[in-house]
Amino acid sequence: MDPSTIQEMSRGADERSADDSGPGAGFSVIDEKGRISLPKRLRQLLGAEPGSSIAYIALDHALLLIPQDAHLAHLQQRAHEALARGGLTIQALLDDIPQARAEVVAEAYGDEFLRELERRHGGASETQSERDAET
Amino acid sequence: MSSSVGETGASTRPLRLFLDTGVIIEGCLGSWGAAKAVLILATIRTNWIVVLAEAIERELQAVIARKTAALSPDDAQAVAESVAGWMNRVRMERWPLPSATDLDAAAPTVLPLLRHVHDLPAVVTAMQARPDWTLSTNTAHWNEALGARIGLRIATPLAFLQRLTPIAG
Repeated sequence: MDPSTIQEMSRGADERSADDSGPGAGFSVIDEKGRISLPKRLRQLLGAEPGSSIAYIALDHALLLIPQDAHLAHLQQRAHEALARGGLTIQALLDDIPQARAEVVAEAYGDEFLRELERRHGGASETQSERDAET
Repeated sequence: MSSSVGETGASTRPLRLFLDTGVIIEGCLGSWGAAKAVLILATIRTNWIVVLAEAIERELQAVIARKTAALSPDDAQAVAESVAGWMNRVRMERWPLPSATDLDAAAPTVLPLLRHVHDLPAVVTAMQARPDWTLSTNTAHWNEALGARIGLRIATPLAFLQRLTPIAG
């Protein structure tokens, strides 16, 4: 497609979004480098400025765009790198949840009360030893 | 984005999300995925409220403390700051641990569906808080059968996002 046509269509997206669909609806055209432009009205709606971070996630055949707080993105990236340096995976943290939960709950309610709950109400389907083996 | 897209008609009431520990860990510390997308969405305070159970918050802190103990102080701090930074940005509704009496009352209905009695406080808190959605990556623990029994809408972060945008689901 001719670049001037693309630019014209992208400009038109602003106008087309001013109908009953509200300011959040419109379309943009992918240019030859795979870029899309967000109409001004949409950028204002999202609080997106040049340099802003936009997260996206593909949901089957749709794309969800989410404006991301730059500082929060920085904190999350630092944390991700810190875990990697220490050889810690997310799965290792997730695998530790049952043990942490057991300690927190036992501290809050006491082992005796929890055993009594299990005894009186039939108990849960997994024993502590099964749970330990799993983790 | 309306907080009520696809679920509650034209209401603009913020949606209340009860998040399991795994969602917060994956969202704050993982690379990229549906959990992170949910946590980023949740920072839009006009649209979302995070319902945080004390049971979840305590175990989250316990996991982070235990697993980062072997990291350098700077790296351990970076991990803690990522979680704290997200918590500071969301509109939070904290729920205390349920009482022993609350657990005792819920146990006959709920305990047979759980893998372990230690899961009970978080589930009872969710029942008390009645969030619009309960999100967990642990489908062995939080699943539709449990949701049907206790009247909660339970989903993984990805399934939630797909329901949020019905055209994609």
